[in-house]
Amino acid sequence: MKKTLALLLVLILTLSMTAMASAEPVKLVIAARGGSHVDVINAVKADFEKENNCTIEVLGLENTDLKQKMALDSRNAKGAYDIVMLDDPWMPEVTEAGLLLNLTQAGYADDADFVKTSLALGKAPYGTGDTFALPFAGNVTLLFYNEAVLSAAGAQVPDSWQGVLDIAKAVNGKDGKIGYVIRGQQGNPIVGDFLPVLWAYGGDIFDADWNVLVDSAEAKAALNLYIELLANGKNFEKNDIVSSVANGTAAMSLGWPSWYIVGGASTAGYAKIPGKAAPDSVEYPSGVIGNWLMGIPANTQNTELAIKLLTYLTSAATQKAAASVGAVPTRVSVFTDAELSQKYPFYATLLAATEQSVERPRTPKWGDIENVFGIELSNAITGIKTVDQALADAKVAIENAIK
Amino acid sequence: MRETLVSRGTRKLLVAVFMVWTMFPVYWMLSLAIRGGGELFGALNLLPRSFSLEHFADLFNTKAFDVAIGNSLQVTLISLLLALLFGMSCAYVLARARFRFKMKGAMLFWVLLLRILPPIAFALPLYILMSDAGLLSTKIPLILSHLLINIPFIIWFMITFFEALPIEVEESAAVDGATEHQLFTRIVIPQVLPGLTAVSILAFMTSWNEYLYAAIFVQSPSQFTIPLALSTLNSEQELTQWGNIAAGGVLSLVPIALFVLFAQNFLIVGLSGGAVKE
Repeated sequence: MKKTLALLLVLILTLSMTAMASAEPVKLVIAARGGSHVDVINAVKADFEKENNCTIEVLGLENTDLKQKMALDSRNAKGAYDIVMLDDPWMPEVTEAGLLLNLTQAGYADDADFVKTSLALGKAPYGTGDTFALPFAGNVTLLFYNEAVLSAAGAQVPDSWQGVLDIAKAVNGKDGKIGYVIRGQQGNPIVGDFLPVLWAYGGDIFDADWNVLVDSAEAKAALNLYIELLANGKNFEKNDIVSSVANGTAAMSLGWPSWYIVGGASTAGYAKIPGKAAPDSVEYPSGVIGNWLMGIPANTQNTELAIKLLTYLTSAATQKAAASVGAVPTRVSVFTDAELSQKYPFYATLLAATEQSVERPRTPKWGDIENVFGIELSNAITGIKTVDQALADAKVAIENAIK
Repeated sequence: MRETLVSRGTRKLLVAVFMVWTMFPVYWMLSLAIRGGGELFGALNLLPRSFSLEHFADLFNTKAFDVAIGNSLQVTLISLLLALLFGMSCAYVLARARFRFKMKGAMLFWVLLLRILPPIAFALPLYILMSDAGLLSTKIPLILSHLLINIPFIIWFMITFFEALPIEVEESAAVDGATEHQLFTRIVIPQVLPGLTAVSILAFMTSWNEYLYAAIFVQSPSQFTIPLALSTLNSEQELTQWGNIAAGGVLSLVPIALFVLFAQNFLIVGLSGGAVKE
């Protein structure tokens, strides 16, 4: 038995040594959002590795894990990552915490080829300050619609939310069709789905002095319309939203382009999100911009090479090459490239929508705000609270969140 | 007689409802895993209308799932063996009064505390420790964190089994000249095999499915475990890859299912035994 025990310990020791031996040599490491972004980086990294005699490892992580890892690694004198991907609303939080290298101070000069609204996301303070991150992957919410359903209803693509509601009313319930699909799950889904309506009505979450505006008359009108859309439609999760609009069960929804568009083909019609409440109302920018940015952690051990890699990954040539593996560009020259425009006809709509998009409020507390606002929006659409009560409570909750 | 038939029928119905309730998620996962990709887009039928192994192939061809399985096996088996070694020994020492072990109550409470506190409470201190020790690029932090979870569980699970053993047997063996080591390995362990089997499978499952510490400690895709690999298949950017997630779930179920299949007799005795102290 002693022999068995000794053998067991030797086995454990050997396995542990194997585990230790798997320590990776020094290399450039990119902490990225898992999924298609990892595939894109892996598809274009070879040229850089060859030219710079280095290896690039891409660590694809779930959203929350990525942010958590970035924060944890920042306490190390020698950072584990050379480039990190960031969802654009994280920028105020990570720059205030000093997690990112100031690219402007490191000698990076802004490139005017980036779409202005995308480049602005990587600056701190937003739009006017130094550049801390560059836009790697473009994204903006669009209106998606089923062409056959709209055509059968004798409707054109709506340019106002009243128009969206009119079509939803005309379609809903006829032959089992759904007029409009909202994404009403608490938190990020419902907030992202409602913000374009709020903005189109001239409302917002904050004014320029950070006073909370969610109980304004505009916000109430927007939420009433949103509830009316639900009354003439359904509340689905994203996969079901896409399938219902794509197969003609539903007429319209909002969504991120990558849900519907694969390669050059889209499973539904697409247009810029209506920016006005009614046909004769004032038009406002209304699409939510949602770029993934890339920055360099302040504690990277390879600053120069990391800047070079960041510049390479966001260059026009790389974005053009990456388009074939599904990357959405952030540069005007790539969006308007003749060859790509022919292959990916949605680029023109996406560029126009990005140029007229709105960023989510630039505050380090955005995560908390999104959470509490989402709860109250959910309370309103499920009838737990009246619109007035839900928005009044949302105001108090948001004010508490930003204290 | 009629009453018996009715109650028997009701019992069967309740068992059937319970079986459907508990087995349906497993069926649904399996049925999603073997449907073609096209069938997963839109309204789903209860029964698959197509058969395809494309999701399994995709996991291995494009998601390096074989690496994740290897890592999960390595981390789980090493941590399980170490946890059993330390946990069983510790439980035996704490169970036997003849060691005149002082502070037994306080010690047990301390061990229990490790199970009561949420794992996230240990995450940051452990991360700092591992980072300072330069171990973050290895699997050692993950193995140690799994020990942290499983050793207290094994101690608390096994202590009742050890306490239930008649001490006379050990005393007779001691009189016959058995050393403490011989006594433990040849006399005590064989008597608690059902408990050992049960606790092994439960600790294996905990370690196999552990996500939090993996998300914090793993620094390279070459060290991804199965839960981490699966977590990246759902993002806001893209549609959720239900087929791949279900296929990954089925694959991750295989080792546990096999273990339970071969050890089910021990498992049943182990899970029901030791619960009541005679």
